[in-house]
Amino acid sequence: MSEKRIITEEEKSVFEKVTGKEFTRRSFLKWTSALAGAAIASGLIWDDKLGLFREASAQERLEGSLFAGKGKWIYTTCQMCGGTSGIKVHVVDGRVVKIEPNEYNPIGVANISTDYAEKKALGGRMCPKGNSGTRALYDPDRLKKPMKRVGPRGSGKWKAISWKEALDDVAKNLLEIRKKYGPEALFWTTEDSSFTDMQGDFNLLYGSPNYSQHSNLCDVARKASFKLVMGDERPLPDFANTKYALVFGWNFLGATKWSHLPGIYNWGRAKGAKMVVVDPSYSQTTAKADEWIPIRPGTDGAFALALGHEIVRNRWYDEEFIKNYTVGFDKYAELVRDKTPEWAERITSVPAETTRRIAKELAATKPAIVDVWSGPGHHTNATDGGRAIAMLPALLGQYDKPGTMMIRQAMGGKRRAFNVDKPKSPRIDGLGTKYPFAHPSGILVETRDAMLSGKPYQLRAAVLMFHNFVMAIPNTRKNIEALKKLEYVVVFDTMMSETAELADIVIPGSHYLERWEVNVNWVTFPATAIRQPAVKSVINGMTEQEFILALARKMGLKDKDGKTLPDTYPEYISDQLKNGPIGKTLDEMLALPGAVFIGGETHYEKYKKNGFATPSKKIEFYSEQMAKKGLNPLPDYVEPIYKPTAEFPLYLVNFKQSEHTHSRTFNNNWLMEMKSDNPLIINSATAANLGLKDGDAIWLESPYARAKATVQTTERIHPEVVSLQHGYGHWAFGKIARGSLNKINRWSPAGTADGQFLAGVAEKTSGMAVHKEIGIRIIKA
Amino acid sequence: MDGYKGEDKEDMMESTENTARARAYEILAGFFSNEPTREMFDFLNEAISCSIEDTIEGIEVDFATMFIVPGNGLQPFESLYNRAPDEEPSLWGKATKDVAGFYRAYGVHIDESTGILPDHISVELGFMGHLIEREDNNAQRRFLEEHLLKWIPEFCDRVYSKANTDFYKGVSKLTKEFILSEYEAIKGEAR
Repeated sequence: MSEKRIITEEEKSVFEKVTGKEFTRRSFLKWTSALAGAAIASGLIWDDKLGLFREASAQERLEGSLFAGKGKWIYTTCQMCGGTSGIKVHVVDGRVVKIEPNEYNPIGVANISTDYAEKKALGGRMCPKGNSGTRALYDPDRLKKPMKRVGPRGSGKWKAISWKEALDDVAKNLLEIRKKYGPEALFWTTEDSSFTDMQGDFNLLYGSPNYSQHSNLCDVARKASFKLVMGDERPLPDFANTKYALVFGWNFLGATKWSHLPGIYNWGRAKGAKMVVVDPSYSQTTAKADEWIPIRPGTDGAFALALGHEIVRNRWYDEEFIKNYTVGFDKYAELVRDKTPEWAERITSVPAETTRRIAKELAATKPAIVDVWSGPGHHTNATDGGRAIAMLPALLGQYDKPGTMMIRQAMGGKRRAFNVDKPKSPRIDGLGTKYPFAHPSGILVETRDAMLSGKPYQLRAAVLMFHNFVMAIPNTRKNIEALKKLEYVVVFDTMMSETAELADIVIPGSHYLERWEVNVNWVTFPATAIRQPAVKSVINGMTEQEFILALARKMGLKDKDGKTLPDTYPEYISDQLKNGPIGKTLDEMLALPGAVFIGGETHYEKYKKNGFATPSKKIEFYSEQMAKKGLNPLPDYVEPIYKPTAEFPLYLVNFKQSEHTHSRTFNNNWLMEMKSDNPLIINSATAANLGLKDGDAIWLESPYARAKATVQTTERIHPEVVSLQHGYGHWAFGKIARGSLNKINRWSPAGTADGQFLAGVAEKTSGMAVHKEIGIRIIKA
Repeated sequence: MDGYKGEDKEDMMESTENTARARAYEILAGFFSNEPTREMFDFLNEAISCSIEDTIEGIEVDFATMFIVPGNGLQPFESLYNRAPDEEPSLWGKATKDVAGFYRAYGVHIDESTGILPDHISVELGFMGHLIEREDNNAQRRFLEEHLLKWIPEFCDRVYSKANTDFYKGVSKLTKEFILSEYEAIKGEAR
C-alpha cells in the first residue's frame, strides 16, 4: 500500500464537488470534525444505535473461548421444496455450517409407522436441494431491504425504503384500493406450506374473496381424481410393502418430493416387488423399474380404461369389495366394454399385447399400487384420466391395505374462526361456480385471465408471496401483460425475480432457516413438525410473517367481534396447535424429540368403520355429484385439446429433477453446478430425421412463443415427444440463474423456459394449470 | 503529516485528530448504511457548499441500484470481495468469520440475534471508529491490514465506475482515499 497513487483530474474534480475542497487527508479530517455535531443530528452518521460495539461481558468472553466452534443443533424442517423433510441445523456463532436430516421426523425415513419404527435408526435422508440450503441462505443476491419503484413498472429503477415506509405504503394503498374499488379488487396468492392460514385470515378480515395458493399449479388434478373416486385427495403409496406398482407419469426417484420415497421404494424392490412405469420419458424411476411403457402424452386415461376393460372382461376384479364398498360398477363396466386394448393402442401407442399382459399381472399380484402424478395431471383431460387410473385399485380392492394406496391420518392445528360477512362479490376465478370440484387453492390461470379481461370485474392490486407469477403460470407473455394491468403490486421474495421486477413494492423474503411454521407431514400416520428459526434473518428486518401481522395492525383489520390477528406468528401457531387435536403449545412441541409430534400408528381398512369420504360413503365408479353439475359422471376418455398439428408436429412436455424446485432454486450454484444447461430432450431417431445432432442450436416454436434452445438426443423419450426441464430460462433472479455457470452453451445459456410455449389454460374440472400440453416445432438455428 | 512542535501540542492535536478520524469513519459508515435522506442531502449541500448537481431522487436510485438491488455485484460485504480465487462469493463467507473473530478477540460482541453481518462495510468502518475511541493503535493497524485494506479500495473503485451520481462517485473516492491515507498515517506511527 505504499506506492504512490495518482489521482486523476476527474477524480480531483469530483472530490472538490463533494467536499468543496481539494482532498488531502488533513482537509478531510478538518471537514469531518466540523461536520460531526450536525452530522449526527442529520442522521448522516453511523451512531451505533444497536449498541454493537459494547464490550463483551465476562460470560460472553467465556462462551467465546469455550464454545468457539462447537455451536448448537436446531431441529427444524426444510423448505427447499414443499416436501418439508425433517432437518437439523448446526449453528456456530450465529452462522449455519451444516444441515443434516432429522431422524425424529418420519419424512425422510418411511410413510408407514411400523417401517418408521424399524428404520428410524438409519436416520433420515436429504436430497441435493436440502443439502444446498446453506448456500440459499447466504446467497449474495438475496434481497435485503424493501424497495419502491421510482420509474415505470418494469424499468428497473428502485429506491430503498425503510421497513416503516414499506408498511405505510402497503397499508395506505391496500386501504385506498378497498375504499375505491371494493375488497374484491385485491388478489393475493402464496406458495404452500408457508403461513397460508394466516394469510387466508388476513384476506378474510380485509374482505377479499380472492385468496389463492399454489396447489392449482401443482397437483390438483390428482387431488380431484382421487377425491371424486374414493374421497381422499392425497392417498400415499406404501411402496415398502407392495408386490406390484403401476405408476403413471411420476418420477419420484429423480424428482423426489418426500425424501423417504427412494428408501421405501428400494425396500419394496428388495423384497421382490415388480414396478412398471408409464411415461413418455424414460426417467430415473423407470431406470430402477422392471418395465417402461412409453405413452403419448395425455392418453394415460385411455390406457387405464383398456386395463379396466381387461379386468372386467376376465372377471379379475374383487367382487366382494365392489359389492360392499363401491357404487356404479355396472355403469363403469358398460363404459369400458368397448375400450379394448386395440382401441387404446391407436390412441396411446401402447401395444395391445402389453396392455393385456399388464392387466393380467396387476390383477394377479397383491398387494398392488396404482398411482398417478403430474405427468397425466397436467393435461386438459387430467381429472377424467386420473379417475380412470384411480378406479383400477378400486376394481381390485387395493385401497388402504398394506402395500396399497393408503389414506393418510393427520393431526394438525385448529384454525381460529373469524366472524366476518361473506364477501359481496364472488371469487374471480370461478372456484365453486365454474369449477365446482376445484381445489380451495383456486384457479390461478383464471385469475390471470381475469386481470387481462377485466371480467367479471377488474382486479386492481396483487400481493404475491413467495411466488414467481411470471414464470409459474403457463403462457408467460400473458402473465407479464396481466401484472401490467394492475395499479399496485407487492411482491415478497428472496430474489429479484421476473415478477419482482414488475412490482411497485418489493419486500425481501425470509429463508426457511429464518422462520416459523407448522408442517403436517405427508405420511400415513399423524406426524406434525415445527419449523423454527435456526438463525436470525440476514435481512435484519421483518420476516414476511411479522410484516403481514404489522400490516394488519396498521390497517386496523378486525372481525365483527373486534377480534384481530395475534401479535406474533409463534402465538398464532401455538394457538392453532393448542386448540386442535394435538393439544400442545408451541413450546411443548419444541420440547419433543426433534420438535416432531407423532400421534399414533398407521391404521388400515379404515373404510370398514368410516366408509369413504364420498357423498355415497363408497368408492364411486359413477359420480352422481358430477352428473348434477353437468359433468360426465364416468371417466370416459377425452382427447387432449392441444395436440401436435401438421405445423407444430411434436408434443412438448416438461419434467422436474431433484436439484431444483419450480423456478426457485436457479441462483444456487451448488445446484446449478450439477446441471447448468437445459437442452431440449429429443429422441435420437426423431432428431436424425430433422437433421439434428446432439448439441445443435435451434429455435423452438409454438403458436405462443419462439425461443432459443439446444438439443440433447437420447433413446429415452417417446419419438413423438420432446421435453424441457421446468424452471430454467430466467432473465432476472440473479447472475447464476441467468446462466453464468453454463460453459457449454452460449446460445441459450440460461436454458429454455417451457411455460412460454403453452396456451395457458386450466383443466375444466379441477382448475389445474395445464403445463404439459402443446404442439411444437423445431427450426435449426 | 506535517511536523508539530512540542509534546503537549502533539498530544492535543493527536487527540483532536483521533476524534476527527473516529467521526470520519462514522460518517463514511453512514453513507453506506442508510438510504440517503433529504436531510442528509440538504445538510451536505449547505454545510460544505459543494456543487453536487444530483437530485435526491437520483441519489436514492443510485444507492438502491448499487447496494440493494441484487445482481449488480456491489453488495457491501467483505466476504464477497476478500476471498480466495476459487472461493465462491457468499454471505457469511470465510472473511465474515474472520472479522467476527477479530471483533471477539478485541472484546467486542456482536449480538447474533441482531442478524447483522459483521463484515458489512458500515459495521467494519464503525468498528474502526470504536477502536480509535479506545485508542488501540495496534488493533487499528491490524484491522486496516487484515480487513479494511483487503477489500474497501477495490470495492470503492467498483462503486466509482458503477455510480451514476456525483454523490456516490465522491463518496466512493473519499472512502478509498481516506482508508489509504489512514494506512500511510498509521504505518508512520511505529510502536
